Amino acid sequence: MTRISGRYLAKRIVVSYLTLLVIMSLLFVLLRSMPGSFITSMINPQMTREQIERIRETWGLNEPLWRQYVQFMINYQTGDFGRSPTYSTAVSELMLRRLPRTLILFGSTFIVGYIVGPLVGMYLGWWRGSNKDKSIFSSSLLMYSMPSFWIAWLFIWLFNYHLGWLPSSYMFTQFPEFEWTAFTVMRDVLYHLALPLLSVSFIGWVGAMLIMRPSMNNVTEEGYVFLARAKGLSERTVMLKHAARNALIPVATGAIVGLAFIIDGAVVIENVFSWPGMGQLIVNAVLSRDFPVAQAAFFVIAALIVVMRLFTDVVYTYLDPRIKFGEGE
Amino acid sequence: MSDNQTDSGRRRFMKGTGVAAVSLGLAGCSGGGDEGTETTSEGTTSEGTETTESTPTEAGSAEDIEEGGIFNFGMGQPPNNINPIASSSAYSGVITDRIYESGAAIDPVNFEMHPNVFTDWTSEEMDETGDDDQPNVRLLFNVRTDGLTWNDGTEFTAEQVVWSYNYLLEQMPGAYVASLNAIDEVSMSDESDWDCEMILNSPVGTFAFDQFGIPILPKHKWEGVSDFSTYQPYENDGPVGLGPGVVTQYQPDTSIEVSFAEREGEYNLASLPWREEVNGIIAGGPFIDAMRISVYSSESALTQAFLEGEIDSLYDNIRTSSIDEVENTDGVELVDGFDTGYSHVSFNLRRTPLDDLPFRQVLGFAFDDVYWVQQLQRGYAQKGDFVMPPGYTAVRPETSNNAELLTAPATNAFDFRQGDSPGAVDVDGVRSFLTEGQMITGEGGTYAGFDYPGSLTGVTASQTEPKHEYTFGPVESSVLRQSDADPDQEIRVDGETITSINDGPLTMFVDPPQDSPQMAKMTENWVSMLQQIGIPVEQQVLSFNTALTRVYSEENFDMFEMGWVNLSPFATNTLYGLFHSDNADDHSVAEGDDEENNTSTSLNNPMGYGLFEDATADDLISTARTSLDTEARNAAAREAVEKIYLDFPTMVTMYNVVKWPVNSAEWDGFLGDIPGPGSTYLGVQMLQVHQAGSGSE
Repeated sequence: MTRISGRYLAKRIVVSYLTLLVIMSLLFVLLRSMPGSFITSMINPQMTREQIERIRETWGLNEPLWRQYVQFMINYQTGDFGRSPTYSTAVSELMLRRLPRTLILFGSTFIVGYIVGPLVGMYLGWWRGSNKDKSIFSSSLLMYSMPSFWIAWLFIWLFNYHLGWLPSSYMFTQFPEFEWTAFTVMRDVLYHLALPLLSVSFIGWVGAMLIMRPSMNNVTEEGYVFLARAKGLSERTVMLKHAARNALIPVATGAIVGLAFIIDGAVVIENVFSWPGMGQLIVNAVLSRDFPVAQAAFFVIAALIVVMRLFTDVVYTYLDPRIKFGEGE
Repeated sequence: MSDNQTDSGRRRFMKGTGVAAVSLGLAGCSGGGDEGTETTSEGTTSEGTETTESTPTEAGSAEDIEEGGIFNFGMGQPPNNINPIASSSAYSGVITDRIYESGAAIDPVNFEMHPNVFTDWTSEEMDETGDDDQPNVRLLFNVRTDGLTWNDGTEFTAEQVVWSYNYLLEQMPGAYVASLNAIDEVSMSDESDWDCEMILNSPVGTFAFDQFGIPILPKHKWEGVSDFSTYQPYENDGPVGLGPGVVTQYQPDTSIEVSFAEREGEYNLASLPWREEVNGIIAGGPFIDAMRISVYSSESALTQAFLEGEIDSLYDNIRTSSIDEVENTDGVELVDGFDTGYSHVSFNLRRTPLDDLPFRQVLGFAFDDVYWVQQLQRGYAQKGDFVMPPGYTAVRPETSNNAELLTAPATNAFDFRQGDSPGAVDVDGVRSFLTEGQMITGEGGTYAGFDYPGSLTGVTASQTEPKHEYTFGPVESSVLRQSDADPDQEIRVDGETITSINDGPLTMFVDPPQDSPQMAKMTENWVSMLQQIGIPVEQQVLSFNTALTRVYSEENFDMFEMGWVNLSPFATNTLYGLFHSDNADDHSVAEGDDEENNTSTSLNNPMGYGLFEDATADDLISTARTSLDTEARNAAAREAVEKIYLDFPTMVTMYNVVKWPVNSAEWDGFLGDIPGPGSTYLGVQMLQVHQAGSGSE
């Protein structure tokens, strides 16, 4: 059964598209409002006026602003993010090279977080007010308040410098003595992934727990839970099959939106672990005034958020039968 | 690889030295090599600049050295790309300098230019003149082709050198534009004694460094490249150059390997006779199989990797805060070196009262050098004076009359005027200096309680008398009323407070304290001293990038602090880039997107020094630049340096004491007591580093 009307979906897609256009326009305006230009670093005092003009021409800065804007909007909508002045390569190529690495790191921490978090939240919500709930909840809150980079440094100190068990940086062994095969690649990535995964997941699950716990607690008061108990089902079955399933709805929608923030969260962690992903690219781009790269990275983050919000609306109707979008239209 | 340092000497990059530093647009201002007038035979070095008194490490013998091993090197920034003419990053240079060679090479001990790919050369002034009525100069040179091949095995010819120069002249890459602009044409020579000729459109005293320092590109790789900036050498079976290295692994985000073993027996530029004659240089390298470069994402990760033994050395130097830890770690050593630049506070000469010499000099009197160098820098810095670092003695004014480097009284004209109580400035002395119309112009005398013997080179300041009348009256400015310094009087410039003249107090741009904690503390101290005197000053914290634009593009500032690195030991182009009016914006022409202001071009002389008759060293700088005679050039450079010191558009606050950390348990052969041992002259180190226990050291 369709719980979201085609008309409503079309409307949401149009709104999302318009939102993206606004974001693009804002990025264009904001980056051009910044003092100086990204070609400043290419201009040398000994250059002649013609040579400077040639550089401006190469980067399309000799055109009137409105034409630059139109070209920018067309380019972005066709996936052409321009060229990086520092890497001398297409921005999209750079991003395609970096994005999978970020997805490996944060995709895995995301999965771990959204398995552990809801499970713990389910138990705490079910036994809310118990000593177990109080102690686990308060200690997880304490963990949640710790800065992720500090935890990362602590783990590096312990597992790398002190115990020497795990590598503290990079995604692969840099200068391997072994042959690269599918197996060695996987093994090597997992070995390098272990410490950042551990560090991020150490507190990463708490967010999902914080959504699941009150949600679980709310459904314990629902009639269908009483009914399940009255039918004589075991406490475990009631909790898992009847309560937890319904309590998971806000967690699931939260998770979808959370996916969009993966790149955002990568900025700090990737730099701590020298993980060559999008986060590190953004930091380098900002520090080296590589505006085309920074601009594209911010756009990708924004686009992910917009798309995931749209996706959430659709998924929501399937997860919760009570919700219907555009029924009256 | 070659000791071609011109390439790295041109690059701009940031350097964390306690103050954020930038060598912005150094492409033009760090060039400038000395070559003397002629080099007539291989191994005969040109007349060069004088060296420092310190003696570099005694060289070992190549015959005793056991070859092999992999040297692991760390960097805090990725190289981004390894296109030698598209990248201006010093981190790219760590790789490309191992691959590409240029016509002449500089030695880091005596700063002399030597034969490299070019075996010998000569220069002569021509009858024709260039656009600026300067005589053209013809350079004739021979190219070494015996035993020299490209690193992909292709034969090397003199015609390829001509092609390479003409390709660059056509493309005009920004990194070399200053050197290329001076070249009219390059062709094969008609004269039987010479292979090639190059015509310069004006005399360039440092042509061996500037024009002969440009990397030579292989025609067979670059011929079809219509836009140099998009070319990716690694994706085209390269990079291919004449150097000792071959890039065998290139993951620019994390790791790069440059193999020297691949070129074993094919590279002979490190065995040239002149190398054996330079104290501390070991000829015959490289002695290692490969250099492996790891990229770390932070300085702390880099330092930790060194201390943990993951890498044998790192780019540039160790942070001051880690020096003690390194010194207490077994198996590692710190190679001493000189700064290749300086840290400074600079003033906008377009603004009142910064346009007046005595006022600027008073700003120097209030800067507590001892607190800065001894306490905040913990002694790992030298007090600043001239705009040439102490390692470049030939172009420092002390050399003119054999005065003591850094400590001669004439170098201390603007030292801190200590008051009666600790941490206080001599308020009365400094106020009197202003109100009595005094200023230090180069003549001996007593100024604000300090004796000054007169200038070392005989130059005098551009300004002969004060521009403004200074008085002191009741405190009116809120920044002083609210100040903890609690001044009893406030300065008046021609009867007005500075706050009313400028619609606010003078502003000093500082880096965020978390980035530069020492400078933040120093600025706080300095501002407090100035406020004690009664000068309304406040700090404005700006991120590095924002400050760069405000200062270098817009010239919208009162005072700022930064630093320069990788300056040329020959001074001329550095002085031209940083202090000549050609590189200062007089704001007469609006450029760029903003029709009202000039914001498109970064100029390296944001102070505006040279734009005004009472603050300029243009003549001396021009004389130095165009002089083909080494001694005349150095003498003019020394005078220009001292004139800039007296004119005080820039207060040099310190020179770093460079400490380059190396794994001495496993490696030997490092050359110390040179400028930038782990950065500017990293190429020299890679040619002579070898496994510990071999060689004669």
